[in-house]
Amino acid sequence: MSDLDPIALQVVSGALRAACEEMGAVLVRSSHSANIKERRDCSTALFDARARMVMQAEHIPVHLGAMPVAVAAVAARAQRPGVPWVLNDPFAGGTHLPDITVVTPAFAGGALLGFAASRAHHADVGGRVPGSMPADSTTLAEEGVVIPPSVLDDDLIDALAAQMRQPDERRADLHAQLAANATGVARLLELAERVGAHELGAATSAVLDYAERRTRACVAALPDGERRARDVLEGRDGDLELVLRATVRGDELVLDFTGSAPQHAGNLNCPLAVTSSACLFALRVLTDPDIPANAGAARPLTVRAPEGTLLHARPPAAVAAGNVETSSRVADLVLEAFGRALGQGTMNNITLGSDAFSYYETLGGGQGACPDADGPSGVHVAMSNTLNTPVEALELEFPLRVREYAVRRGSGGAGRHHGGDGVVRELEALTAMQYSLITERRRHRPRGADGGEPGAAGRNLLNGRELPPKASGALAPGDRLRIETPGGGGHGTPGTHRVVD
Amino acid sequence: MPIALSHEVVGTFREYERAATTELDAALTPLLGAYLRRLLARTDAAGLPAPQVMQSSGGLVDAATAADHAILAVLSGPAGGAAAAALIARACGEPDLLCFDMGGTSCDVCVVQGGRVRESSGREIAGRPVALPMVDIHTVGAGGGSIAWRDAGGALRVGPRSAGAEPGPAAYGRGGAEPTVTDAHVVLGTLSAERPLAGGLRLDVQAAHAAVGRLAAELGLDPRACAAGILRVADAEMVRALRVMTIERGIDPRGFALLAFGGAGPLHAAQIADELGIRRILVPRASGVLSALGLAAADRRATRQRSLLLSGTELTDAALADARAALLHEGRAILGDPEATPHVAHDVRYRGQSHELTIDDPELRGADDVRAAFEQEHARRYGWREPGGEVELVTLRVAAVSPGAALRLADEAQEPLRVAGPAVLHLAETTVAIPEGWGGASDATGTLVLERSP
Repeated sequence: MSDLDPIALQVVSGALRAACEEMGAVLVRSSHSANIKERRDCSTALFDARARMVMQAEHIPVHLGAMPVAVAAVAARAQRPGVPWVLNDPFAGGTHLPDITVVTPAFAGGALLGFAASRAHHADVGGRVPGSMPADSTTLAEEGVVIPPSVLDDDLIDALAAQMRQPDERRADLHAQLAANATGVARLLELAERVGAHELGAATSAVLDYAERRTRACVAALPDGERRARDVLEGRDGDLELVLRATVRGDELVLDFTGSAPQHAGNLNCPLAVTSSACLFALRVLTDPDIPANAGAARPLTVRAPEGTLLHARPPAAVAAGNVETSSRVADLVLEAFGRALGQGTMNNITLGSDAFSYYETLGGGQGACPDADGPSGVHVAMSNTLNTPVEALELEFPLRVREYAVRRGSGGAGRHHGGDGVVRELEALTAMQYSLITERRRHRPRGADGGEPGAAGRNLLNGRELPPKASGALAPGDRLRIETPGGGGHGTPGTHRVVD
Repeated sequence: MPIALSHEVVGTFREYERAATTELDAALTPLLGAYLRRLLARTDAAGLPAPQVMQSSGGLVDAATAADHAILAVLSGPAGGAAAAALIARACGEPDLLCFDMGGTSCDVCVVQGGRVRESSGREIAGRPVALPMVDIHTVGAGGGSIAWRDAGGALRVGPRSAGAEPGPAAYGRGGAEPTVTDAHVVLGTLSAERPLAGGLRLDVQAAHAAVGRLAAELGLDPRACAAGILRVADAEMVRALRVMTIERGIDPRGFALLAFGGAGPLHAAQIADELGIRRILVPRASGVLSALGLAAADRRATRQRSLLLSGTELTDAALADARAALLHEGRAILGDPEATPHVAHDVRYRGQSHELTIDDPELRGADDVRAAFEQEHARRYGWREPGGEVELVTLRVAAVSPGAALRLADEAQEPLRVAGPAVLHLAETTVAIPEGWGGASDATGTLVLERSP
């Protein structure tokens, strides 16, 4: 255990958190992609010189465990002051291709101090369909430009943007990420100046140890023993089963997914980093969200997923949906194993676009009920944590009209406490465009807990005709796409102690 | 029946924020409206002048107008403190102030720039978005009564739980047993039993030592180090709040003076100034009644806003002038003052972005001025300009302003005060901690002006 007095510990960890949040503010406020600016589908984090994540801003849970892998992918190479890196390769530090990560090293007097990193979901990264979230891809190459860890200079920005749709927007978003990182680097330098570069290294180690101690204290409070859960993903050719054996022993948690389905020919595959992110998110739910999100908090957790399975895919597997949907199911498995009612369990990914625009959005739904409260309605659940695109912003920016946007009454599961309701969003195309839907929980309902009933399954409709969970095709002007998102599971037997709203 | 129409109440785009704000207005107006109308009837019956109401924007408005739209007054209380800060800025000739008002349970922070309190175009209140211009105030849960504790990872934490006024800090001797920021000051001797606090409260030194001592033992620190640590952690909390209000908004705090008030503010001012690189601190003599003075001297103000979404060939001098004139006309009508002067603010972005920067330089006139000012601000805040980016005016806000009562702060009864640190200065309503390296004197308004010696 590195020793830092209890006062410096709190002061340094607060300063690091503030720096990450400031990076996030710069990124969100100066970017162009609706995904980043309206929905905040982005994350920012600071790392020490040994590439250990010391703090992450609370943005998107699915980025939690995946950011360290991205920084590890570049940290092994020689660093030069002011020379940033970029990557999105899911098999070399990325998650899925639209998530582009920029990493900037911070130097103090010639010595490497650490790294600032930002990850953002870009509206398009090329590939076969606008929005780069195809519903039916079978290889990574179809999903867009694969960027191995590379030095990011103006030439590369131009070269990358040229292979993507809306190149001006891509350029602007990459600049916004660079600006966010510059802010992080500046704050790290200020902190080093205040406490000394060497002392900062000791302090960040202490902050990692601190997060570890707090996580261990929470895990130790969970009863020892083994818990099991199984659930499915709704593949195009049938259900894919995932299984979990969760073992608490003392202050350690092992999440073992051995026995889950092998990687498949669709795009529900996950790189291990995504599976780890989902497990870390669930661990945060089971422990205390006040614990700093860093590498120390991850130490008491072991994740096992055999290579070649859906949860630890090998290249060149397609992964577009793994990051958004499979990750949600991994979190569900852990939460169900620990007796929680499940939320909607899908991000309801919609991508619409043509050569003129790309629009990507994930829709909120019902959250599962708690033992002591109803689940909230129309919210992002688990691995997603984004805002919605305002109807007025959407209609101004895209050739779309929103016909309905409403709470889907009655879709939450009944229980002593009810699951939250899903939403209804109906979009009308005003020009010809392509659509792509990646959704889950259309065939299987989100389960309740302790006698609570499941939430309603979601539905996807094109001009009133039901579509499968994964669907893509063309829309003509006047066509209407209607998405009804799932409700959350209830908690406790209905009628046992009903509180009237 | 009160009616709230979203285009009247809010007038800007983004449906959820507009609807949520209008809903709050509809819910609150019957309550506040009935209360204000009763008050008006009774002041009228008593032959008193009609009361004015402080709005979240930091300006006053007739009670009858406030009765129609309660949402305009949701941040009325803190706005009074902000108005006071503007008053001090004028009285002391200090146009740029960072203000921090530290009381028993929390600390409110705001920025005065060029003599005006900085506004925000909206914020969340109690988890609900309110899309209306208001004074930009950031509140953190660090006050004199904030409780210090050890968390499960062994770190020393302060707040957000507070001992409040009852039982209050252990040193109040009213049964509080948990160590607070105030108790830390007692242990370190900045607050002493010899000097009763405002209201005649005598401090129980032993109780403070006992409370801090218990936490010190848990942390393995000696009691004085623990007390100093409590202050350091509380200061760090406030420094973060001040950084959010300055550095995150692109303002360099080093050019500002720190205005410290509230019961506990002047105890912490010097440490906080040192952290932020600030070299000048103002402590107003009337620290405890400052907000009331601010209310009495505030401007009357009616703000109207409209989303225009003008860019390219539509963003012209004429379009700008017409929209300004229309909004100013509405504001003057509300105030009943055809001479009220305009304060104009433009929310501007590059087309394609969805967050705006507020450009409110009073010198701006034409469309090209707005474009240039925006690009300069964007470069300053985010470090880059968008080559060939098209500038879009999203929302125009015009406040019609009638000047408030002329108030003169003077300190006729008092001898000028002179002080050099290290010292602890006991004023009638507050205690000022002056460490080594700080010193100064009171000015003609009674405000204590402290400077950092090089």
